[in-house]
Amino acid sequence: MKDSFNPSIEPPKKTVTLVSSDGYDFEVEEEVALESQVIKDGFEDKAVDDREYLLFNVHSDTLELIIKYCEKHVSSRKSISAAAASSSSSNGEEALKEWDEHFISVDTNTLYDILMAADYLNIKSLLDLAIQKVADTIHGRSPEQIRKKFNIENDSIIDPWASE
Amino acid sequence: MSDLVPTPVVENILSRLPLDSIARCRCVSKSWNAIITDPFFVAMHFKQTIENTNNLIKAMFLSWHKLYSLDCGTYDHKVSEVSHQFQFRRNDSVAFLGSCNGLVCLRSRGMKDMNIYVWNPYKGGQCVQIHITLAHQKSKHRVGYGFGYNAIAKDYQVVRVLSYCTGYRCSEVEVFSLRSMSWRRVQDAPYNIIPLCGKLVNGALHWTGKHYTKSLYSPNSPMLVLAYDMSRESFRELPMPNYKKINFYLETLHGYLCVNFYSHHSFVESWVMKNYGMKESWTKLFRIKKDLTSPVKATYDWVPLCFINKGGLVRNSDISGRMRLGFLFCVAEDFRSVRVVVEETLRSETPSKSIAATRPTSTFSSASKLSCVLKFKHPKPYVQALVLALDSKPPAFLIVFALFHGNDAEPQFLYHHVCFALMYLISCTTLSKPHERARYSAALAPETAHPLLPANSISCDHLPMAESEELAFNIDSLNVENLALRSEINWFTKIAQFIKPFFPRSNSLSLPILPISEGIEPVKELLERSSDSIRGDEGKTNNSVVCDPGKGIGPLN
Repeated sequence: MKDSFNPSIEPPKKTVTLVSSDGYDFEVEEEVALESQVIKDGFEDKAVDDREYLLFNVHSDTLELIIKYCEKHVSSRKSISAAAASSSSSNGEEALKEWDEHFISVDTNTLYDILMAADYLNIKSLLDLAIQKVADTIHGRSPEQIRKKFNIENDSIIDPWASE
Repeated sequence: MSDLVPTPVVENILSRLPLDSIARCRCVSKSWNAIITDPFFVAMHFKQTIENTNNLIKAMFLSWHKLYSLDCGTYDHKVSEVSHQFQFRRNDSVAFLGSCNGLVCLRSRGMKDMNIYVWNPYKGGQCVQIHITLAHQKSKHRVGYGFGYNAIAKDYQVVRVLSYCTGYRCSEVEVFSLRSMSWRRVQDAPYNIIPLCGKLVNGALHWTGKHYTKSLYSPNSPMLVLAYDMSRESFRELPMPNYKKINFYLETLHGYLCVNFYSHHSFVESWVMKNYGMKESWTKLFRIKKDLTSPVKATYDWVPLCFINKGGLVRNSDISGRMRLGFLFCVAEDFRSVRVVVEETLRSETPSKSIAATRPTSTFSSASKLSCVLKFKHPKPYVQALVLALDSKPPAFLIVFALFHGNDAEPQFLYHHVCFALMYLISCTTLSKPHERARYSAALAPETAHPLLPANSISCDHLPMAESEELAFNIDSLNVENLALRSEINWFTKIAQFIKPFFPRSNSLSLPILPISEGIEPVKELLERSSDSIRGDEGKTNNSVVCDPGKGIGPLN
């Protein structure tokens, strides 16, 4: 408690609470939550003591991943800008890209959940990442494989060999 | 998935796919088909392609009556044939007129008439055909065509400019509206236009030309860059870079207007206008010297198509630090067409996707890496090789390109091609001055000591046997000084005879003067060995010709 009077110590970080669709609370730092454009948009209007967001569309498993992603991006952004300020060379961006790559290497269902959550929460970089991953998955596959992979019902009336 | 994922997300996903994948995806479901066939999607895909330099910039090629597309984003620069339903007549001459928002405009001209097609490659070849009877056109004129989008009328339009030789004061400008499907004459232009295709930049078509008061062929009157604003339907002049050269042609390079100065047989120099309409923003990009022995006859055939980024198929859109750019050149030799890719590593400290951040010539660094492969399935056999040199001496590039048809291909033929490549490199070396040669060989010497031409340094994916029409080399490293051919003079002479027609001006090829090291294997055997060893090879570096001169070539002046 003494520490809070010491000006050299940062004040305790503000947090917000994210509640997943299955009812779990996640307490995260404000700036991490603000990665989501949706949360950011509504942030100013909310009362200071009412920092709780009910995310009806995001399951706790997915939310955990999303928070992990946002935390990583917030922290690495800081370290990159710190490195840039001290003009020391850093490969932070590359490392982050690698991390992203690893992060998004998940099974199709998880990828789908991340995609939907990123779209719902409007986290642009994550949505971009997930979309690219899906596009990579689609690339080079046959329609049948795509349907199977993404569980799409075959209602197509197009004969692939028919010309228009 | 497609039921629940919002349509914009699906659109976004699909817009990142290359053309062939998109075509397949149409068959996945009704909703996907609806998305893909939406005109909005075509524009979106195109925008995506432009914005994301490495995501599959598509170049299209026309070789005789066949269309090919190229994914520049992929490492191996794969060329695939594009199916189309055009009914080109046997003797028609087919050419591109332009492209706008992913739509392609082509013409096929016969003796008496001409068809112009506006074609959407996405919709299974949906196209609009404009028929023009040439006899009805006025005689003694030249026609320049262009294709673009009129943002005010919200209409795709084909523009043609009819210039007359003498006795006229202005050119007639006509516009074909795809909305109303009819020609309409707009404001005349007081310029005599060189009848090439208009290049679309910034909503305007660009031609070169002169005032009617000046003779088109007089060297005293400067050639002008003329812009036809698609929306305003009028011409205006654009400023030129401060550069005293008469001959130039226009191109579009990544959405910038690009002027290529050339001297007929010696060089081509490219400038781009970074801020449209601003004279100060003209920036010199690079200058490429033509080797006199090059089989490609004139430098005005060299067309910079785009920058390409080294790397895989997907997203390195946000490149940091070490940026690698390349240039893609298209070299059209004759109706059979040779296409060549040049790739150049650019050392750039500022990461950027666009050419706006690339520097003028001086940043062309030594670490030039080259790759070239375009594979066409062509009914006729042909082979070409080409060396392009940047301003820096000695030539930094070796480009080999070979294609031939199965029936004509014998094993012997293969050696010819391979040797062709090797000898070409040698000939460049012998042409340079001794001290330069020393530098060159130093530059070419691989960092780790390779034995002379390691077995995997020349690889052929397919030997040109009956079923294959394609051949691609892979030259990882060549130690030129070690390439002695003296022990194989007979063989060498044979090859020299074979390739002589390609080098009309050069006698230096008859025998290269090179120091001979001890214990060097004859190249022929080497090639045989490498060809054999490649059959079961692990398929290194996808079919590409790679020549890495390593470090040491100094910057350009």
